[in-house]
Amino acid sequence: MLRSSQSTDLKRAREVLGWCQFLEKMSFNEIQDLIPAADTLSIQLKYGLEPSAKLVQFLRSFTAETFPLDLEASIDNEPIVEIDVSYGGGDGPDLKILAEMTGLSESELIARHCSATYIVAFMGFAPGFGYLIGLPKELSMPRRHEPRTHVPQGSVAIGGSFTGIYPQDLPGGWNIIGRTDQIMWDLALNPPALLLPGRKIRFRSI
Amino acid sequence: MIKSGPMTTIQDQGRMGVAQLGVPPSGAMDLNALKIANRCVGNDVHEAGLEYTLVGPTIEFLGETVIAITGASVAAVIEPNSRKVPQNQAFHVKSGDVLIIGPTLGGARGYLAVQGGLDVPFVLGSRSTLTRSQLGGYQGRAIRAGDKINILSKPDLGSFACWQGEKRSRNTETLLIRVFPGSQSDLFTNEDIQAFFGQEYSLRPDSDRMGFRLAGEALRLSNGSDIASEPSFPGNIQIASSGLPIILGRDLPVTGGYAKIATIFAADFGDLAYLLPGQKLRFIQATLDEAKAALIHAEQSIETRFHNIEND
Repeated sequence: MLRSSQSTDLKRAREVLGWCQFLEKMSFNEIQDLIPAADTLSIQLKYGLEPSAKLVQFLRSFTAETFPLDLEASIDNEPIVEIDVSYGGGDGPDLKILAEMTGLSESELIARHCSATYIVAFMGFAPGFGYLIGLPKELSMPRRHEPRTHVPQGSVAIGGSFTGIYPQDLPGGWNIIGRTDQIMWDLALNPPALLLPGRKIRFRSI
Repeated sequence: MIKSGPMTTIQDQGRMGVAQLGVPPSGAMDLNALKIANRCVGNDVHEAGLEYTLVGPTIEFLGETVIAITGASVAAVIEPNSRKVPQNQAFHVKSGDVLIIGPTLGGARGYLAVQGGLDVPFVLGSRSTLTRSQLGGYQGRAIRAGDKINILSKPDLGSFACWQGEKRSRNTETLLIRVFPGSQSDLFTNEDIQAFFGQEYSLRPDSDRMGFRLAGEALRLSNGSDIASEPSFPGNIQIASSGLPIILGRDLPVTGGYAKIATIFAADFGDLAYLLPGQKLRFIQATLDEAKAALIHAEQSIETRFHNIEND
């Protein structure tokens, strides 16, 4: 597992994604899966295989920061996925709480959530669930003490400094501020997930 | 399917290479037991079979075939005539036969393989079921009474076999599980580490394929337990904010924000599949190298216990 030592969430995610994309392009035979996360990249090797000398060399150069990566360019060229969201009310029961916490009005919060361009840093928790970075600092909310046993599909939520969309009905501990009808996970499509590491997202209030 | 049992799903060796999409490996909780069942009926080890929990299914066979039952010891009979079905070996069934598998006396789970393998669509490269995301298996869900499952017909089968390993019988002793240090072992104080290895935990009833939740004395966690989300794998032991461990199962969420104190030897993970609520376990401190050696040893010892039997 490689750990990024960059100083900010965004820098760390970009570094991890850069490693991930680079290793994918190189197509190492011994690698079964590359799993990016908040500040780590897990490299899962195929059963019984050891990392090749070439792979080890690259991994050392990543963490020595001597390896130039073109990630900045490749993320900036990503098209932006627009997601329509119905904020607040029954669709976003925790928006009120966020308003109370921050002293900002609900419409101001919505405006700020929609003002950012987010990047999918990594996937996890459930099929199609992407952890988005880029949330304006004032909107970050700690996870709920008691997770809900049922969060409706399409719920747009905030957990810590991440925001994300629940791709199915799931239990969950994040704070729900809105809901979208956009399908996040469809096995008929390839890839089945709308969000993949490196994708850019913007939200639009409807 | 006449009766399905409380939790019967189609599983195979799991989904690889899809953690990036947020999809866990799934697959049989005891991969080896399913492999053994497949080998007994002459299948490729990757074929899909049934995993049943606590009580086995009642199945009517609509065609002649060969089956094998592995995992926890069960009372299994074929009607008519109440023929007893022995475990860990190939067994012929005729069209119209009804297989009744009773409670899993020897532990929580058992496996059934059928000659050819179960025929359900591949989803992301596997036939395994992830029930909470309606992925794979039989329509993405556990099997229910009335379901009809097709069987693949394969022209080239291996020979039938029987496997002479230990039977999984009800074990009331404390299960000893070997672990090696987790990626956040240094987050835990010496006091926590001692408390973790020094106590007997018991399995909580709200455990499932996502995770084995343990009851015991909470760790103090003076350093907290929240970490930046990172990838998790089956066998990782997380310490939740409650101070109690969760051993992540094969349907785990693939990234998690709780610190990992240790990881279970792959060779020992299958033993967890048989734990019943209330059963006790204790962790044994070991190393990654020992884990690798244990895995090789376990696989060799499984292999040596197969005996081919004549196809008839």
